[in-house]
Amino acid sequence: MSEDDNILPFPEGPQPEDESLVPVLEALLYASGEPVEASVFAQVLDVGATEVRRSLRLLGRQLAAREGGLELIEVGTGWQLRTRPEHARAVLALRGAKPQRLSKAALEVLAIVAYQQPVIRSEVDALRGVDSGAVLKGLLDRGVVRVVGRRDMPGRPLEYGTSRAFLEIFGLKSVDQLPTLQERAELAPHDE
Amino acid sequence: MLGIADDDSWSIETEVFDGPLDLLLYLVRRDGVNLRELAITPIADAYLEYVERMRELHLGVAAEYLVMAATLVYLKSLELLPRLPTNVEEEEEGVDPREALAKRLIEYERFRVAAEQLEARDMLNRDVFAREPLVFGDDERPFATDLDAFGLLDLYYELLCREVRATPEVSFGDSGPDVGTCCRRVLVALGGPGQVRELGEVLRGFRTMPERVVSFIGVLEMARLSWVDVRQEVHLGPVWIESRVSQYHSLVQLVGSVDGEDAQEALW
Repeated sequence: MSEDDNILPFPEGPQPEDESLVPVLEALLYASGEPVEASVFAQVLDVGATEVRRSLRLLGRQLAAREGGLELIEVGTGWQLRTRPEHARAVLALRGAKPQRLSKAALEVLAIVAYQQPVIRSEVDALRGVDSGAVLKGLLDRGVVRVVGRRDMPGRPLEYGTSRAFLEIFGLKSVDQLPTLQERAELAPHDE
Repeated sequence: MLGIADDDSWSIETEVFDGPLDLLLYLVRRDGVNLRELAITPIADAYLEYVERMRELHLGVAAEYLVMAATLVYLKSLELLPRLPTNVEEEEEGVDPREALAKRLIEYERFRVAAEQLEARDMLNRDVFAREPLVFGDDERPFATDLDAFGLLDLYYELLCREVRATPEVSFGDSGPDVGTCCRRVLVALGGPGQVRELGEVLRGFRTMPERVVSFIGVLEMARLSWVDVRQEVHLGPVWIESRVSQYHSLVQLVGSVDGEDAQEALW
């Protein structure tokens, strides 16, 4: 990447980026584990949130350029260090664990909830043409889907939406980051 | 026999095809039919043939498949019978039932593709991993609060009072549940290292009073041995149990050997 720390600062060229916060942010990210908002780091370090965000992005670029074991992602409203996907097998072997997957049905229901939220169960059932109650309940138990309200209609059915855990699982900043369904409809026929 | 809710129940796919639309879409794709100019007859025939095969294999064809079969037969009949001259009414009400079905399939496929795109992302705990937060002694975070005895006591009483199946009054030389077996069932219910579940929920998976009492004792014993961690998020909050062992399979065997009841393995 262009932000190489060995580049000498030429007076007429762009000033090198201030890297002073990068090491301490890396330490804090390692210690926190879960996603942490930039404002929390700003508070801890007593510096501006803008400065923290800029340094986090710089750290992210440095990690990406290094192609090492970790990557920095922005998930939900926070920042988190994660192992890079190419090391998944090794990490799983170390933990003696199986990868946590979602079934095809669960992913379908999740996609419907993510794109159509707030959505009620009968709408999910209608879209899939099959009873999705059990799958939906599983996702609820798992905390990937949550109840966001009740629809103002007879029976006042529960409305579902995606949770913060959903963003964390799929490494999304927000649901707006999902590609639009429209694009997809055009893509679909060419998929075969 | 296993009274504990399967933690994986959410991920079970019931059939080869997940509903009639799934099957229909598969057939449409297999036969290269354009979704927008859906010719019903070949698709209807293929669908019915498939459903028939499912019945022959005793796959227990769900009602939804039959509803779709009926719809397809109806649509096929529309296609085969001569059309009445088009009138204004049709234009008003507008929707060709075949078009409605095609629309449903297209709509369904959009979400299918969306689901595939979700799956293609790097998923936490499948492709990418994060560490647990560092926990310090005086940490205010969730899970840091020490378990208080009252929380445990409340849980115990609740277990004894709620949804207990009556203990059989007559037993034939049954020595009742043993700690080892119950421990093993708790560990299996937890499903692996690092898995956290509400203790009450886990123990309620045991249906009879003796099983619950013995499992409760088993959990205390496993906590003493640091095989599981039992904690509360907040004072008087729900009690959580976490498996602490990295190789829970070997532990499952270990608990079994403590009792020397390898025959119990068959229970699982």
